[in-house]
Amino acid sequence: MTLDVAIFFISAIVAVFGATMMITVRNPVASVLYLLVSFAAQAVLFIQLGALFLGVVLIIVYVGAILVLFLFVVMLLNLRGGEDLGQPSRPMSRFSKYLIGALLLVELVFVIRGSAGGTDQTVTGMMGPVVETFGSVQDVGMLLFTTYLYPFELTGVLLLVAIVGAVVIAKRETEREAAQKKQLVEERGHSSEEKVS
Amino acid sequence: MEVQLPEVSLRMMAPELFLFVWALVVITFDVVTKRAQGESVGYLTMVGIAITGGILAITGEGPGFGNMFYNDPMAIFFKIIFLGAAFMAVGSSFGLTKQKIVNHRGEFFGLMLLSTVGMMFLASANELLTIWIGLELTTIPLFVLAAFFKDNKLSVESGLKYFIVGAFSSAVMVYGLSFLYGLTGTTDLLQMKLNLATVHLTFRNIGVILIAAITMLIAGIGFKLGLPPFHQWVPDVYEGAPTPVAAFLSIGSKAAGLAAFAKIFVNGLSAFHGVEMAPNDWGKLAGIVAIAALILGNTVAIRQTNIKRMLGYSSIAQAGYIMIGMVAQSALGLSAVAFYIFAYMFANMGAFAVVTAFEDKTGSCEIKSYAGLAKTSPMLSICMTIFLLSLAGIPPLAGFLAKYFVFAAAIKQASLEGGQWLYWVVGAGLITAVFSLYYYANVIKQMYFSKDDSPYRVGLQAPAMLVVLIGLAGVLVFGLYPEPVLRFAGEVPSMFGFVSP
Amino acid sequence: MIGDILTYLTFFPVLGVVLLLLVPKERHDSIKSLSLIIAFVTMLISFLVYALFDPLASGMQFEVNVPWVNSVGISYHLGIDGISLLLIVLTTILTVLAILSSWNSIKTGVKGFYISILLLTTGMIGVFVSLDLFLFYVFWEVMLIPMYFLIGVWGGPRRVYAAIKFVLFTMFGSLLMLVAVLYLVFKYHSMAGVYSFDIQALVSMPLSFSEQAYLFAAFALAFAIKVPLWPLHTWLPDAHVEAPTAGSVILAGVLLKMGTYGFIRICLPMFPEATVAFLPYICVLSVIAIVYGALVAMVQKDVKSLVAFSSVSHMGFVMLGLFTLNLQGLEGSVMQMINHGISTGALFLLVGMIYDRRHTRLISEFGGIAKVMPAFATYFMIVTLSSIGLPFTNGFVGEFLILLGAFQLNTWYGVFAVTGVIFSACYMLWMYQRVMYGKVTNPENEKLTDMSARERIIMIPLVFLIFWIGVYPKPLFDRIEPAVKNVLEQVSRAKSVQLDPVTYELTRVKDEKGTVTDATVTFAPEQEEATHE
Repeated sequence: MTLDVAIFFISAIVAVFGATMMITVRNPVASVLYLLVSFAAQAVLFIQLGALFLGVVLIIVYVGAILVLFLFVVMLLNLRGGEDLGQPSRPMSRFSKYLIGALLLVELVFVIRGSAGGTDQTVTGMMGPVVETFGSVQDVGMLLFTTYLYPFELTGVLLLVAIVGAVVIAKRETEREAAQKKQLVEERGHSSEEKVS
Repeated sequence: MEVQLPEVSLRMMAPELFLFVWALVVITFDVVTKRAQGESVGYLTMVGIAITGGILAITGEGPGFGNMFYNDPMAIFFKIIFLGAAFMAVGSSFGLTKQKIVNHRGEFFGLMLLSTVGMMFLASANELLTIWIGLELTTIPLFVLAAFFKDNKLSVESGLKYFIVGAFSSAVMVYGLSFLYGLTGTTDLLQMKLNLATVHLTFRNIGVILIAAITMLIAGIGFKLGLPPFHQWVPDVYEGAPTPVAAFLSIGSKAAGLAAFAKIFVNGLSAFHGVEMAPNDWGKLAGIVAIAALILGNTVAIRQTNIKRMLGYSSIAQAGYIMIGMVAQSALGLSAVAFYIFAYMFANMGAFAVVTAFEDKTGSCEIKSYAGLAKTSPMLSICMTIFLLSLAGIPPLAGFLAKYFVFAAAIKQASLEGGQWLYWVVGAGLITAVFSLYYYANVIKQMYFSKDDSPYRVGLQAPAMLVVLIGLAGVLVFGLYPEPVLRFAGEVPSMFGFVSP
Repeated sequence: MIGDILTYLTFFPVLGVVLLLLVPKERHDSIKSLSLIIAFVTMLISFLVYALFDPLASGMQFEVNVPWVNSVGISYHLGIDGISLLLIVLTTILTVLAILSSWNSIKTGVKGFYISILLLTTGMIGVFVSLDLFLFYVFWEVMLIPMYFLIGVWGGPRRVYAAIKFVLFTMFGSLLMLVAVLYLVFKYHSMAGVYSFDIQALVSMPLSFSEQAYLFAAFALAFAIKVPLWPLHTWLPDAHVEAPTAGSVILAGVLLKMGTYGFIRICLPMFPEATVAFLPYICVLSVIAIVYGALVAMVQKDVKSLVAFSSVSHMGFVMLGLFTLNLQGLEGSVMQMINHGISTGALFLLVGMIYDRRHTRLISEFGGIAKVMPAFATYFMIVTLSSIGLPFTNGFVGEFLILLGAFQLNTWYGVFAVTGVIFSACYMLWMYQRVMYGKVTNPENEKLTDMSARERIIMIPLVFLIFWIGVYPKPLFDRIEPAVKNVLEQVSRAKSVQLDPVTYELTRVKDEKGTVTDATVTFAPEQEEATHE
């Protein structure tokens, strides 16, 4: 067993373990921390595949920025573990959850068996040769700002939309607006009563 | 490393860019005027859409950014549908924004425009990444719009539900796309088609991954279209969301999903409905989904008492009819799909405009509360009747021709070798069409057959009136003289490399 | 100008609808007079068509053929032969009478009522003049909606149920027809290289037997629901009983003929092999319809449902006549279509008149009406006799020919069909006796007024037609005969039959194996001789 394989298995197991714990643990803070562990392990996997840039970005953006923000939010909201999370789910949805999981598992097995069947040639044949600098920052940057410039810019629009949406959803009403609304509702109530009569 | 940029032409993207800027203008205008200008924001939006339509008319065909943005007849046809749907949705939401949305009117209309921009980008995309981003750009504003009434429990529920389902389906879809990329080594659909055609995949080796990709893509897009078994969100979202948003959702987002489906499956994977790769034939899988949509949508709609839920289920069924044209996998089928959405737009937006006006006046969406409406608001009832009959597919309205062409495409394909299974799809479509007539006629029954007068007298505001008139004109004119649209729709598949019929 | 007369005829009622929309809905009298004028002018146009029609020419006349949706081969193709001509004239006459009959009985939603009737008229005429399958289908479906409203809005207590039942039954059939139409068109495309919906073009297309069988079944189901052939008739009593008088008149008078017209125009010429193969089944169903309709009519308590079931019986005669596939049978069948329109239309009108006065149709409520309303009783007698098929009334001509044809085909069909005639005399006369004779038992009947001038005006043309056709049907036969011969010639394209060029007898020939598979359809030579007399 070479070192590469050892690293792969260790980080893969850590990633899956982190993800499982993240779902099962009831304490939100611990849950976020497990997610962080999982992401870190995934970053290792990326780097091992040669996608250096992706690995680093995963660490910097997700682990460094987004999850820390998550932690802040969770702590600020002061959620405690073990709270009642509402009604247990209906048997139907519980069943479908397991069904989807099972399907994905079957699929995974098929994919692994399919690619182990000695057909790598067809795949790589279509992919073309892998360049030496594959996954480096320069390479990704070149692609991102030439061939894929347009989708890259498009994601900018997407982010803008998300911001606008978040503002609309999250913003509290000012007192003036609340008063306006109340007035409107009253007016409307009157008008519809008149129409009915 | 030399720098290579694809062929770039901003002129080709002019309509999208303009509409994007206009969306920002609308939002800013609302903020700058301290949200006092209630109606003018709406009019501003409508003007913007109209100008975009004008720009679209003079843009012409050609690449905007290589294959990632290419204006072909299909893109233009779908863009017309998106703009039309947006225009009619905005037009019918004046009363609603006046009554229920005190602030954020600018955002309401702005998000609608941004969603339209996403659809338009999607329509021009011929590449997996841009298709996916376009689809996201389409749906993310719709999540927010569905939850726009923040103090209404149903609306928030619908927004949340739509968001979770949407995010999940996007994830499934992107997973499928990654498989496709991994298999073919390209995100470009044309290249993908060529690559797949040169390599003979069989079930033994890599075919199974392709099956997985196809399944996940059908699931992902099926969520967007509301096809069973991914349809559960549809009625709840339609019921809870603001009515014009539901209308926009039923046309815009559905047409966007269909465009994505046509691009990925009918174009990119077209090499795989041949004889060689029987297990990878996506058509049969999609056909089963279509049959399920037809049966489920049309039967469950019968039991609905809320008109928005009823229209929600009916939209599931309509998606099933559209999929009949899609699984025909032919040039005629794609033209039929394009024409179907076009005709569906007029009827459905018109019907929703009437439902919105009725809801604004009475606050009720129950079908029962329409009783006797024909006596107090005869013109509105006639319009609603015509829209519903068009949805049910009664000649000489446009909805009939739409159904007719979809069936025609399927039957034509069914008469070819190995296409006999399509008769099952057509059969399901026919039998359920009778069911659909039942629940559409139920609304007509309420309006006309009641002996008592309705307590409400529902009028239409000027913009809503315009919407209803556009819908009426579309349904009648394109039902009686569909030739120009048909000619245009006939060009839709021209980039797909079918032999023309 | 004259060449386009069919377009004017078809769309004149639509023009009337547009005019009606401009009239304020409170002005009932203007609405009524305007729609009467429109219907009357339509009728005059149809008379003009009748006058201009050349009875000697055998093909289609007044043809119009303009491309409509060119890319898929749909054209605006109109034209009529003798069969459609007579049905059109019947349609326009009955429309005028239906409008007159509802003069006082429709009090709510007057505008919508007359708009529905006029739209219905366009749909009905459209079906009879279309020579393009797509157009045919469009008009076929267009009729559905006004009829739905007529039954649902102005109908009786169970109108909602009856209306939706009517629509769903018809819709189911017509969707099957749509698929068959599409198949035909694509088949034609694969052979000729162009899309065409032209009935005349499609008729000449060779089809294999199994194709013919499937297509025939699809079309036949759509038409049989409309006729209605037993056992698909269940919508009919509901629709008839619940519909307002005008609706019943048009439904019985014209709409039912759409089904038989479809058979004669599409099924027979297009699928001759299948027609011959299905012949015994359809004949048996028709005979069942004749006997069943008559027996059920006998036990009805409601006059209107009695007439409705008598329609099932009479339409069974029409179907039987069509599928005898000989000249007498077909001619009689077309004749019976017209006659049934006249006499059943008249019966419904009369029932409507008494219903307007008493607001009930139960036979037990009446008795001795003849003493109170002598004129009414007279008219009722004439119409009853015509419905029974007494010689010198119109009913006799059609039924006699059909029976003649049926006996030629197979004695048993004839025998059972004759029992239908006898039964019809029983139930009609028994009903007449219970309603008209005896003492006036019900005090409410004592103060009934006799027919008004308007009601007499409605009945006089019908009575005139009853006697005219009964005594001198030659002008009608002159116009029917070339068309019917055409149909028979087209059926004779089937390999399994042979057409006698003189008598237009279709004879079944033995196939290659030398066996005749179905004994019931062999034409015995001695029966053939009988017809030469």
